[in-house]
Amino acid sequence: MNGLELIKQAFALQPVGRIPWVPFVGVHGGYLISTDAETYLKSAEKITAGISKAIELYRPDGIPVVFDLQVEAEVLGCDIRWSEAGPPAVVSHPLAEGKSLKDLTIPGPDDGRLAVCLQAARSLREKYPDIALYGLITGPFTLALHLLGTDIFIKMFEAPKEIHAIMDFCSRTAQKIADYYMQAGCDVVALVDPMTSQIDRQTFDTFVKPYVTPVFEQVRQNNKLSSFFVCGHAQQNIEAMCDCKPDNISIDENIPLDFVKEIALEKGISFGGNMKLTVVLLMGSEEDCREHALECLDLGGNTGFILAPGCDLPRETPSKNLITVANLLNDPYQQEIVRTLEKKESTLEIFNMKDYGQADKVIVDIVTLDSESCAPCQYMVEAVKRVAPYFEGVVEWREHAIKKMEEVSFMSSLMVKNIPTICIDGKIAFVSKIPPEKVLVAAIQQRINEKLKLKIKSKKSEIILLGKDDEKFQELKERVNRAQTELGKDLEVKIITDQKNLASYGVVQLPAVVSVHYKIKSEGLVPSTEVIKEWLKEL
Amino acid sequence: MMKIPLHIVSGFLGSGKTTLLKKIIHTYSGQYRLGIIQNEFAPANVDGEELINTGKDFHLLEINNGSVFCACLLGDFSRSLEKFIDTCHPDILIIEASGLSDTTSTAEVILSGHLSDKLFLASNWCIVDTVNYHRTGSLKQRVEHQIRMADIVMINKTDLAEEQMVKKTVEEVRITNPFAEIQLTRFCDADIHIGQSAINKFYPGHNQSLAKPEINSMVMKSGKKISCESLVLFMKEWAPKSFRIKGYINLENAETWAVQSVFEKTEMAKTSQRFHPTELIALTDQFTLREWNQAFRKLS
Repeated sequence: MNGLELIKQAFALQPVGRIPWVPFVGVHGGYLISTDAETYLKSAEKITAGISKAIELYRPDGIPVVFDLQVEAEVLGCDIRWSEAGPPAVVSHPLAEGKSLKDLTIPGPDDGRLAVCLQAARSLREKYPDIALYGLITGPFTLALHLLGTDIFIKMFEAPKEIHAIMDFCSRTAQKIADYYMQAGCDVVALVDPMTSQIDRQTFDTFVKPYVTPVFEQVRQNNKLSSFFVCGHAQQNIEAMCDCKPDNISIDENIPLDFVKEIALEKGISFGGNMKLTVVLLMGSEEDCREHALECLDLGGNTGFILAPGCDLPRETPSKNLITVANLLNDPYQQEIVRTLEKKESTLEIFNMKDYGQADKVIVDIVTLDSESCAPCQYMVEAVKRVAPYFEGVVEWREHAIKKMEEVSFMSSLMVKNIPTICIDGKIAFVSKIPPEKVLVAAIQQRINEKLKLKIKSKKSEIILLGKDDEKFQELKERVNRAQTELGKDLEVKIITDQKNLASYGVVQLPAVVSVHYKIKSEGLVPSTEVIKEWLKEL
Repeated sequence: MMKIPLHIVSGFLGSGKTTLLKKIIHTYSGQYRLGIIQNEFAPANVDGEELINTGKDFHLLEINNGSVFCACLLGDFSRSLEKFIDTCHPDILIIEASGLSDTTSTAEVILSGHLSDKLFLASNWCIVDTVNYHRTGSLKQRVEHQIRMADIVMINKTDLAEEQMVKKTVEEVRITNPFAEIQLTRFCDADIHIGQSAINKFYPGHNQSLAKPEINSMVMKSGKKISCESLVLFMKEWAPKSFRIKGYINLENAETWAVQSVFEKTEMAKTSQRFHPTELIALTDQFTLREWNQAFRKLS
């Protein structure tokens, strides 16, 4: 099943085999192709290239064309200030600065950056017929705030009629823009109205509901899908949002997913969200992302849920974090692993593994979820099993299935982070990927060689010469060297002339020769080179 | 490196935040190197200009990207803040949060990632405009949210309001936040403590500097609802490990409890909050957010 079909299935509240995923790639698309936010948002080619890159990396089921809630406002005369790393900000409000509604006309498809967005939508549609394309439109309340500034909050009480008129204009604008996006080929119209998080239920019902409902109605009549995005603390308005009859609502981390799930499903509406943008996706590690994505997946469930970030992805969100989410989503085994580890991590005991792998045999450990239930784990165990006979008696292998507590401890003690992993003598050797037989054999052989080398080295013999710094002792040292040269032996020769140490060898007369086993070979005389050679042969 | 104490100043549009900042600058700019971060939802940074006109010496970071209310803009914000700290090396940081911003999310982001190595949350003030508090109506939601996470609530402009009105405002603030210190002020003429002096005030008897490297402040948010027993056990376990914990916990029985602990002294009170997730802030030198989160997730 392709992404678009999967999204449609989730919107229709039919259970899905895999939860669909819609990364909200806005200016992050520019980051992917090394373009600053301003250049990116002004060019249909750049947007198409950025989103194409995101599709290639993150394997989404749906994706927005552009995430910029200033497009309509800019066309309507708001000044905007560009920033390198984020969407622009509105910095002037025409309706608070002398203009009136009569001076404003609803934007046409060729106006300002709308033309850029629609062109990008058409290109992406052609390139990706199987992915759900989201056309994002600025919600009427947020647009009204752009046009009027914060005066809107006071005027809702003091001049409600004026606000209703502005909201009506913004609603008609939203309907038009929705139309343009649908004609450009978008499958989903997402109305994004973050500022509704600022108002209470009653105000929402009065000033927002009548103006967003027709937008969703219009999308429905065109046989397309609609979504209502909000971010911030909009918990008080979730029910009211559902009552505006979108097909889906999408929320950010400020609202618990289960809270939304309960209300949305009861109202027969699908829902999405709410991965943490900053703390996890932008700043967190891959591990954080995996754990958090799984938490969302488990809370959301497989009916009517779409996994998405809470809002527009920060520009510099590390790609590896989003790839991690995509991988997790497509891999039920990995989900099971994260679930298992999460449960067990807090009561872990960490072993001291400093001396692990020092025994004579080479130990191959395979850390798995459970080779019976996890296919990649099974293949990894089989790979080791296959090569083990080559090293009969020299190599020992063990599987550590982390379903058991002590094996989780073992895994953490070896600093293993991914499953399955092969460790050779306590060192991580192969992570996630099953090594080809030759490579595995070579890795084990290398370790055997290393150990052999160590063994040979540690057996290096030692001979101790004791004496005073006199002629006799000089002679002894020379003969020992000579014997070594003649034998071709490489010995450790220790010279001891310190009176205190001499006593500890039990030597009475000097000079003396003591072998590595602390056996006194001679004392009080200088033996011949031939004799010394015989001794050295024994060592 | 010593950590920098961070103070948050919040309050609805026009409540008096800039006045308070001017007071702080006036009083402390000779004594400390002040770093002020302004994030007002204003067309041009009028307030910033007003601060500069005080003629005093301090460092100013203006965030012009509209209002930092939206989680997606916070990453950008924390980057500028980091750069600001590295260039200006302030002794004390004060953030003026816009009237529309969510101070808890702001704190959450500032206190995680790289920035958490550089600063800790020392106090959170919220200024309430007595005259307009009852007129904010539709925006109560945001105002309440700011009040609820404050350590000190200044009920300002009391000279312009009837006594009855002031009394009513105090009562309402008390319902929202049972533990905050409430100060009645005119032109923000409050008893202002910043830096170490604020710490001495919150932790009487604790004379050491809290600005040490091990100190961590953190924000936990969760949609999970727990039982009353778990709440008690949780506080019993974590309060002794913290200098301070405060926040709101949602229970299974649909009640919300405000909790506050200073060292081991824990207070709890039922509140009438609705529509907010569980939010807790801790100041500690003994645990990490990860450990704290995990412990909370395991509760029943």
